[in-house]
Amino acid sequence: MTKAAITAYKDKITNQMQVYNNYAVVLDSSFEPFIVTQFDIFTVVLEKLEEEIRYHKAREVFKRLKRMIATGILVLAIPMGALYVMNLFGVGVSGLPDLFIIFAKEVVYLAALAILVLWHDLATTYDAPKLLTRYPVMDDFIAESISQNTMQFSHFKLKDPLEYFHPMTKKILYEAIVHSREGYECNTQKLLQFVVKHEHTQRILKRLEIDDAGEALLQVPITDDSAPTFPFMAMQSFLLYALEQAIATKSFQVYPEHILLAMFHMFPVLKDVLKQYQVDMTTFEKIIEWYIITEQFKGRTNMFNLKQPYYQKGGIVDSWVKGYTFYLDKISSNITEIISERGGLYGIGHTKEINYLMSILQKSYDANTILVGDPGVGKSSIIWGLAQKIIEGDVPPSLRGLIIKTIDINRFLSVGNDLGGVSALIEKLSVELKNQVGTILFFDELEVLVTTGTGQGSTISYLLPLLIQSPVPIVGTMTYAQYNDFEKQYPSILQSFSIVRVDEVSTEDTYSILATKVEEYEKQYNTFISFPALGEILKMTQIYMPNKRFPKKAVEVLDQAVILASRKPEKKLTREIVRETISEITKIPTIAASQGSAHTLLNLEDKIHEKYVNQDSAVRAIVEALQRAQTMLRNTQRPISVFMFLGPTGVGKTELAKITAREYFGGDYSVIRVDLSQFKTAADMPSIMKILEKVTVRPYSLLLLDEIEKAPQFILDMFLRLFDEGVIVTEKGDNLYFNNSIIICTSNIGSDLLLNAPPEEYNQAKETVLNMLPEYFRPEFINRFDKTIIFEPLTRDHIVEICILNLNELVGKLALQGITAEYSERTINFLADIGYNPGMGVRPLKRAIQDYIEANIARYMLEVQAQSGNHPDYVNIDTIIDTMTNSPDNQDNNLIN
Amino acid sequence: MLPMLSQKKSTTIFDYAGLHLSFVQDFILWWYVDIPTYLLGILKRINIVLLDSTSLPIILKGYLKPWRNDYNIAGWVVGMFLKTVYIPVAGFVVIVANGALLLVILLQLILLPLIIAMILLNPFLVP
Repeated sequence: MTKAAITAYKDKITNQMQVYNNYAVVLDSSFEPFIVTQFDIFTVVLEKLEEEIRYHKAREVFKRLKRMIATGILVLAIPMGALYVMNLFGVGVSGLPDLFIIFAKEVVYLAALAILVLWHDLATTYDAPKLLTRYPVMDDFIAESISQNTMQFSHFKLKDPLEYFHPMTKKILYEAIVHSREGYECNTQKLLQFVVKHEHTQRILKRLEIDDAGEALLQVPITDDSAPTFPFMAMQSFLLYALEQAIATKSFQVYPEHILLAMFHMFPVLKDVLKQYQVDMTTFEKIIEWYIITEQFKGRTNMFNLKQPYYQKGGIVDSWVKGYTFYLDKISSNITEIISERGGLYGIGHTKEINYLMSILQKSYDANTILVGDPGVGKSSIIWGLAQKIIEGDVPPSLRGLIIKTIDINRFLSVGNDLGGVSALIEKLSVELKNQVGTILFFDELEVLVTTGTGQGSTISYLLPLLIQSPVPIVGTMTYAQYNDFEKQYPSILQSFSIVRVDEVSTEDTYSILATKVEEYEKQYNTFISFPALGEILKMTQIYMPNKRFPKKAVEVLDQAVILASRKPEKKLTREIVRETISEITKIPTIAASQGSAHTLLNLEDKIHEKYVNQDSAVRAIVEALQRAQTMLRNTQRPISVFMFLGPTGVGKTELAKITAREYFGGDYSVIRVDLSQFKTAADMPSIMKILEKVTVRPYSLLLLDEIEKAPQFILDMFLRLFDEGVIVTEKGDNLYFNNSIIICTSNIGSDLLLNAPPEEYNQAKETVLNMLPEYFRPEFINRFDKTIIFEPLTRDHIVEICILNLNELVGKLALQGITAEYSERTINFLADIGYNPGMGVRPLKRAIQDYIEANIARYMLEVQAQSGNHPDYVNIDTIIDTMTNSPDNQDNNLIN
Repeated sequence: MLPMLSQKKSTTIFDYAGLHLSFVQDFILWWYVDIPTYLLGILKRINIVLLDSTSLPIILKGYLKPWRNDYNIAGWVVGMFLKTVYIPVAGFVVIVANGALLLVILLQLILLPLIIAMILLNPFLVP
């Protein structure tokens, strides 16, 4: 049970009670629905409601009349008052008749009363007569005891829901009541219309990225069956469900949006509209909650806001008693004071850690603490959260009125230098702190003390006595890695410190943290932020930025996304802009899901084949994996795909990986290549890890593990988790995430068999090679591969095709230098004759192009340059072959010679 | 179909008269309960702000403590002397501010009868 209110009903005939969660409309007068909270019960007295509705119109007329008369008197009073004053002082007017004077004064007195009446009107029209309190989550036993009819209601207060309805909510409800021959009836469709058109609902729908908000909801096929016109009695259900929603969204009053929320539950057909716009009910509820909290926080720092506690700063002469902190003030900022002036919400998602910190700070000695956690989990926010609790008085008596001062290390060093050395400053600080009462010192990133210094040693060496025997509690933050180093270097310091481990904030809490930033960012960047965009940030950062922690990674993305949105003409942060931002940060082009990236993926197979010959099944496997990744149909908790490419040397296993990286991942730099033939012993592990660490910079990459069969068993075991979960743990204990990478392993296992197999027995040879795999790898390792693909040996025709591709590439390179180059079949055949060597793949061809074509063109270019001073404009590769000095014959001759 | 709970009733002139009376009742309650309660809340808050700004509670609680927590004879003597001078001055400021605010509350309470009295008596007074 995580609700603050339960709806139940009482059967008046059997006197039985029952909890119900199905949002049914109660239409039987023998059932009495009610809402129960931890201390109150709400029931609708139908007779009173009926009376309210009956007089609603009359009351509205009376109110309008009252306002008109009061305003009329006020308007009349201005000239009358002016005439009276002018007559009194004889300015412009004099000798007015007594009767007029009496009348003028009477109007002025009436105007004074009119002001009071209008004031009363203003005070009572824009708020509900009573305000709801924040009800705690209910104890489970209440729901149980209701169902078991053992509930004792004597200590609950009976309340009328209507008193908590905002006047405009009441108005909407009453206007949806229609008269019929049978009496009052509740017209659901009319109610929906009024609620949807209300400005509150409109602003919520806008924040849901539903621009044609009202229209979409009103076009829902609500029929008389799905949402009929109900008898008057249904009103009590509407009222109670709306109240339940108000309590659930922590609202102080019931607003029109709560009726809509109740209607979503009562008529599920309405939820389809939200589905159509890919938003859920939770986001809807979050927005309502956000508006309420934002409204509440507006006057938070106003000292005359009686709903907020006033933070007592101590006053002008508190230092007479508390002690004087001249030097401490110079090097620190008062966090409690900053929060009391700035407002805001801190420490969200860290309640457990804040409570633990408070219990440590209550200790009479060694109340020092180090907050240890991964970077970005919000370690500093814990101290800000504590400061906020102190301001609100939500702390144990011994911590009340405490001041938290955060030390600025730069100011610390500069003041130290001014005084002639850090040690002099430390001495003065020690004296100040000895006499100081009620202060906590906060060092953000304690590690900085070790790395900074004045030349005579690190700052921490001076601070040692202060840290070990501090007269005031000290709180610092550190990452786990820093803590481990610190523990080895300064074990004595840690003895007087307690450790608070700070966990990553949950996604739900991160959502709340992002929501607290919305108002500030909207003002700062003049940009509208939609809530589904916040949800998208959470979803996307969880998948694409696994190596960073919540909430920082989400806040960073929000920050960048708002900046990007503010540059667009619409000035609106939507889900699309979030995807664009994450795509930019992670360098993963597909996240943006633009038309361009979809087009690229659809044509990727052809695009690869423009530069890569044969091996259709391997190319298709890679393209399909990438297409699955783009459409998010894959499991994001593992790599995009893990492939094993088998085949003889030179058939293009590595080349395919490189071309894919170039065509899709952005360039050659997206390939993380580990040649496993180089690593044989455990001492090589750091080198492998160093290569793999590149993934932290470029999470969307292609990991190429070459010659995997040559890797020792312990390395293969390490890869098991990598292939399965996309995670590998470094020696420092950091996780490297490959869940946005394609992993390709290459191997030459069974090459001889494949090369020597006649074409008609090739398939059989492939089978044999696959059956050979267990000789090299364990079954669990082989099972990790999504596909094992055997590359076909290259025929002479393939070599010709590859030759053309390579020659075209060379022509392109020459064209960049302004040189037109041409070649014919003759060159192709010449190269194919030399380059085709069954079993050696494409490498002989590459060597032939390099040795016979590139080398001779280079020589020709230099000769022309030596003669004319310029590059040649034209090169005929066929002619080059004819005239080349470095011809195969010559080379052979050279070799012979 | 279930029977209608409520049948339509016609509104009488007495109902409208009742509306007016309930307005007067609401208005009086608002003026003599809600507004003074709010003003007293403000008075309380201003007191908190004033007492905090002048550090009076801290000074009173720490009256016997030495000057700036410096535990020596001079510290005690200087501290006691300064606090003895300061307390009446700060106390006077707080008392004056409280007096002024109480006057505002008093004025608020008598404003309504005063206005009503003026409306009623004005025709009978010499202009």
